[in-house]
Amino acid sequence: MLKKTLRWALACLAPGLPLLATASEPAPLQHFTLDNGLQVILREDRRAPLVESQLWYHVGSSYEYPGQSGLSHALEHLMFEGSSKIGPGQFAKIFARIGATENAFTTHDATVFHQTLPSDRLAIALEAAADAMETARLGATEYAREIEVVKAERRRRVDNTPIMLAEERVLSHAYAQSSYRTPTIGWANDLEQMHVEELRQWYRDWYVPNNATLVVVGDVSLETLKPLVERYFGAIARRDTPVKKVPREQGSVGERRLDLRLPQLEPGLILAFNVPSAATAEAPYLPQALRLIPQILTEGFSSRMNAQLLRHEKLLSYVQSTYEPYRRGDTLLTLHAFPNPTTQPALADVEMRVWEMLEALKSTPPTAAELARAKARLIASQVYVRDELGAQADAIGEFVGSGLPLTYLNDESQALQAVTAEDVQRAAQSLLTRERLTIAYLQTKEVDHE
Amino acid sequence: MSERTTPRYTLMGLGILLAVALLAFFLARPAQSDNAAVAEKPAAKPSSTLQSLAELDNKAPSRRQLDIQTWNTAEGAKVLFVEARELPMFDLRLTFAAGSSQDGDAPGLATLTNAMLNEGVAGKDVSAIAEGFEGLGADFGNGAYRDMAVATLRSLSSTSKREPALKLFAEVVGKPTFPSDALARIKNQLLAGFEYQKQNPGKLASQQLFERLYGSHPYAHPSDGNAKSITPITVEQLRAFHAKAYAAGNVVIALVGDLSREDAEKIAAQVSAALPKGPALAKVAEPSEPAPGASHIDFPSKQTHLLLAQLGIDRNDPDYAALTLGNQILGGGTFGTRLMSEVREKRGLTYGVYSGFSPMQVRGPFLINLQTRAELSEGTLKLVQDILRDYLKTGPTQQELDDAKRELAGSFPLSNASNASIVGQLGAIGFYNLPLTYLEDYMQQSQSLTTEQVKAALNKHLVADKMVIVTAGPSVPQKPLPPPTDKPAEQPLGVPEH
Repeated sequence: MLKKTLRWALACLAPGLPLLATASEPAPLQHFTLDNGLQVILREDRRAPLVESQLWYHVGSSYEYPGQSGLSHALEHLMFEGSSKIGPGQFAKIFARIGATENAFTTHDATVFHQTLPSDRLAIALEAAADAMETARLGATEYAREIEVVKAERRRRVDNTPIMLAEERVLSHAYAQSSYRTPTIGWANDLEQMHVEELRQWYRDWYVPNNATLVVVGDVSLETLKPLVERYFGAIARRDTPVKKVPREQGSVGERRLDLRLPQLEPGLILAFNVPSAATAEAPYLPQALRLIPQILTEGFSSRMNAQLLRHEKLLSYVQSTYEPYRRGDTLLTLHAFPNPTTQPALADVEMRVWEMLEALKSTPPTAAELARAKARLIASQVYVRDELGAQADAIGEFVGSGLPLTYLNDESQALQAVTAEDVQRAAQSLLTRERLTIAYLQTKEVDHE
Repeated sequence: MSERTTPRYTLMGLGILLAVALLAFFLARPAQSDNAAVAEKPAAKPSSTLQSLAELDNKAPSRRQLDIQTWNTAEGAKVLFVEARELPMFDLRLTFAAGSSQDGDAPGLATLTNAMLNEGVAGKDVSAIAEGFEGLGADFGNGAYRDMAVATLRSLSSTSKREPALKLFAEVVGKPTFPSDALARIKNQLLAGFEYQKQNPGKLASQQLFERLYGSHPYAHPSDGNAKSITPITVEQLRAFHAKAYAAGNVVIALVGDLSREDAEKIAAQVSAALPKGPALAKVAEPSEPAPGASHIDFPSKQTHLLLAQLGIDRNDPDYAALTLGNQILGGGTFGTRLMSEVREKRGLTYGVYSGFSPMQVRGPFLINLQTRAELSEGTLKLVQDILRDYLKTGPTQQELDDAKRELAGSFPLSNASNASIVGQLGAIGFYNLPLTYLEDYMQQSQSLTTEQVKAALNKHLVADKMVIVTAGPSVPQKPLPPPTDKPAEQPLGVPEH
């Protein structure tokens, strides 16, 4: 998507904006690419003398082969166990002492290392990140300990958290074909047979400058940032990565029904529909219309299901739906509905009422007021997200991971505004179908007390 | 800065929401873990050959300078305002002395009153109110804690959005109608939450701890009350509580954002005029000293929760800076604190162990909390007590104090980086009557403290043998603790070993 050039490729997106951005527009994204392929994206935010630095490696669980699930996440853990300039386990302490908060996370599409720190210390974050890109130690001793941490994390966050376990099972069915079915934490038996040499190979394969994006948001200018990035990352050699495959789905493969009974699982329903992302949708209106559907149905106190099913019919205690448009492959629109423990409706009745409300959206377009409200909330939230450096960088990094060109963001607001009530109806009709649905009944499994 | 508890009505929902949102995100270091076997990190000084770190001079980082403006409204509400023009939005935060410490003989009254604010106003039911805010892209928020109850508004600042949002907000906080069907629904949500809490040993332990620390004092009961106390609460009780506790004389109005001083004055006047007329409520009484000792809740979990507490300080205590810094070294920080180093890093007994003062309107708790494996819980408890006793006896080392000061100075810019954090700071400054220069004062005070001063302050407020202790977990035969492994820090190696 971004052209690699031999020299600094400097581009100021949205070139029509005045130098001093007005309050209503965010500062334009500035970007350049090093000779070795490292992409750098900067959004200046001068409100406080702080900077957020995030290094996004474009590799996550959707890149993993069967039997290797959890590899990206395990490598993320081991990256804190030393490189040529930093001793094992020292990273967190160094950053705490200079007043930084830092952590890392892994998703289906990315492995991300991030720090928030005083802007006069940005060089420390960049030097440490560059050192880790080139010389991570990945020692066998540290691996032996850290893989136990990962297994413990899985036991705690998934195996002992019934809703997460249910979620994992839903995803493994809802993605009938694509590698998005692979759980990011890894299947328990894959973690058992993982070997440190696999992590080292994964590191050699993917931790290269041409497979990474550095996202910086905060109190720094391009003039200051550029030489720093060049100084620390410039000498790292580019290397070809393995071929990347876009996770695609057939879509209408037929309804999949799951009956999940687990100890201490709260009764509820999970619905997941196979839908395209902004990167895979053929019709440009579609992802923006899909973003509006959760707003109309479940998000906000005034949404349809909150007003009708939760407050009026007292059928539900909680309802939520989400659609994440910025993924590199085909994605899901998911809906969670939990029955009211006071009225205790049968799950079949909950399904029936939820489905009737989905059908209502297909048979009648949303009202002008509903559509306006949904748009107003999304557009305001795009302003509110600019109050936090980390949230801004998260959004930029996630977007870049989708593979869409940055120029897409220039038209995003207009595209959202242009969505009509009929577009929403059309999206619901074509995508919220039984053929695209995975539905899980979550129920409490009674355990015998001896 | 202020006491916080987890949100209430969304208790179950929030848990689910987070679970769903986090499924795709696996962190290098989750905030908490119940696995004890994992941690064996060396506790020595961080070592690195990072050139940029060596070049870093010792000066504190610069930080955002806040011009805090303050005035009183005609009805007596205190206003604090920071103009921040960079983003086209503003945050408004009303802090009332209307927390559960004002519940009287009806525990849960403050929480219910606060939760009912946006359930009805003249001519609008809960859906119409929600449509009103959401149609403008505005976020309304509310919450009740022990000292305070808050109502917040975040909105775009353009006049076409701001004015209708404020008009609705003023009605919601000033003239709520408290419809009875909504009260029944919210009581049901709370009751469901109480049922859910019965499965949570940490929550049960914390409730028992507050009962034992505070006895008959109003801080003793949870802000949500309990099933027995909330059921009989009537709409009339909510009206009476609102009339006195949501009065203009009992609120602090904090405002941050894309507003001129004139805009801010108009907004404050509008909100203040909408509230019931009346003075500030009397401050709650001082708590009396609790009886030390241990109590246990038998619970069929794998882990045992350990809570150790004493009465700490109120928010205006002159020792606040010394105690905060002293606690940072004991167990307030993340890595390398005395507690983390001994309990986690050398012995692998817990994922995390934390200590902290929660300064409140009157003396809030000093609390140490951790989870450990059930069969090691007695030994771990004794270890924690020994660490505290030893720390009070010797005080911090010069190195520990210097590091803590540096960390505090470094993290200070984060405390006022966003509008959200600034409006929270303003609310606390106003509510606890702190000077406007409080943030700067606190930083200067902290940086000038000596090891002797920190030690003296700690010993003035804490006594190792007077802890109130609550444990929750299964009763199982106990095992001795493993010996500490005091591995020295490994030196960085030149190349990966492959």
